[in-house]
Amino acid sequence: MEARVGAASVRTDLVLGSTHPLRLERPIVIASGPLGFGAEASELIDLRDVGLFVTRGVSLAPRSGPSLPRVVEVPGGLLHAISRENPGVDEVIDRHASAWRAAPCAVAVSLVATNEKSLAALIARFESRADQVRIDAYEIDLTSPSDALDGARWESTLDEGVRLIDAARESTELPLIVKISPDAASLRALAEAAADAGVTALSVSGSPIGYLPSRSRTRGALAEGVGELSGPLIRPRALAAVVSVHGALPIIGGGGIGSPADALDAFAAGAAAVSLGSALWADPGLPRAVLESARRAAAARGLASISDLAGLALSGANERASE
Amino acid sequence: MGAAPVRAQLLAVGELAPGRSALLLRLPELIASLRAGHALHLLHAEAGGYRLRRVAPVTQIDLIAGSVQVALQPRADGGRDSLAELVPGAQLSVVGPIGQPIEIDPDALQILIVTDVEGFPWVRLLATSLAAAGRSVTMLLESSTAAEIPPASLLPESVEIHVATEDGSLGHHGSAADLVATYAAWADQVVAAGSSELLSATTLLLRAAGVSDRTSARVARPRGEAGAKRLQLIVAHEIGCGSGVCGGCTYQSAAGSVRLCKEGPAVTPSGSTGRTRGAR
Repeated sequence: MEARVGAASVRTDLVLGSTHPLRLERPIVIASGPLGFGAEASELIDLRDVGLFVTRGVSLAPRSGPSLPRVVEVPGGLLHAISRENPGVDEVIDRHASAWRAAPCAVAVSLVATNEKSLAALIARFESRADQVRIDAYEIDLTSPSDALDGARWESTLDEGVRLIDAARESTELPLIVKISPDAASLRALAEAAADAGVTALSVSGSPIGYLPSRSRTRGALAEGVGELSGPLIRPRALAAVVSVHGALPIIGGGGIGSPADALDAFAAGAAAVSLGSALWADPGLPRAVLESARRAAAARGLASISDLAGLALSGANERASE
Repeated sequence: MGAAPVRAQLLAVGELAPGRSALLLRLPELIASLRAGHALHLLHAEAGGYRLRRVAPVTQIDLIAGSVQVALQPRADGGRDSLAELVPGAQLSVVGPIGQPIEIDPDALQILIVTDVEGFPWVRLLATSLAAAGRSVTMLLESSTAAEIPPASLLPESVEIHVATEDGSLGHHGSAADLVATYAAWADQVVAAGSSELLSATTLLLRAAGVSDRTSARVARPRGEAGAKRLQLIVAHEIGCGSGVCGGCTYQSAAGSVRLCKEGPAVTPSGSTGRTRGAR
């Protein structure tokens, strides 16, 4: 197809949400987890290619992680169990707030809370130190464990998921991004409830759960037993989740994106922005490659903005978005 | 953190033991910085799409040839490692060194190494370099069966090897840990690498023998942590970011958390590295 718009003139910026909008200069999101809390990220990748950096999960009090092995390779990806290990809100702020202030992209802190009270207290703690931190949004991690569900994920039931979202909305005026996995119950209803609650975007970047025995088959491959899956093996499921919530609210699509072509698939399935994770360990240049590829793809279709690629596959344009 | 990847040329693919692959790499940029205990993060440079860097312990260094041998650890899922299927001439993307060298007390002249087939790649270079430095090295090597034991030719002749097999097909019938008590008094320092069961058993036996609390005639050590440092455990990990940020190789212990890719792979039984830790 002949380009009607030069790639260089294709707009990369976008605004997610309306009642609590979040402006991103680029539709590239660094998923919570793989690159830490912030201070180290700029040494690993060029954050100027990124629209939003999401920190590893932060809780009110320190959380310890499981024994090793915590990460093992599986066909098509990896199985991991870090259990939201973090040193707690105060230490994270002390160590990383300066990096957030200096970041050339928006910053969201991923919040981990096992009940609504601790979530409210966690947000209050961040906002009490607002003079030291620059936070553009909070990510509410519905893939983290809930006390009320005996450690099962918040997203396991619609009611529990909505309860945490409401608690977050009552606690802050900052944009909220709700993180779910393809395992989430009642995905469409959850997305609509999130939209009604004033959530800015839904991040379909959470890992579905997985299990693998050890080679001896005498225990789990992970010390924790059940873990979470990342990598290409989850990509079709993540894309199906994006499709199922498309139209309810802006979507950050992730899960197994390892190449620019994978990212174009996520845009085509309905994502307004794409989330990159463990693929960055091997390819720190992936954000720029995705950005350039998306600009060329938009230009080739005569689109003025990368965000116009969102949902192409759902609007009758059945051809795969490609360079 | 975040060392830039360098290219390495694959010179040969071989075996350390039956079914345990090793890669010989031309790696001039990093070779001078590598020590026993270090690993490299490897990636097939020409592969596309989603990839993971695998942790490969350094098993041999040839400074004259500019080559480095690394071992491919078996995948936890039992799958084949695509790196083992590459042919000489392939280009690898390498990040390293991963971790810290294994520290041996300058005054420790008699070193006991307790290991199994999986731990062997982490201590082969240590045994070789200690022997080359004139220290006495005894290795207790465990395997499920004789056929899986790495060949003795991989170690200098001066290294004394005692084999234990689970099926009794060679050497002691049982675990290498069963032999630890025999050598506990002899050793000035002990390094253990292998399965968590072997590490636990070795730690318990040495504690029972009083080794971690014993004051050497040559090296006066106070009781407690300084004495405990005489036993070092090598904790392996498979994949991860290699930058200390993902939490995938964090080893939880009584002494706090240790990022194996940064402060490891050697820890004391209490979990500390015995090194000054930097801020994270």
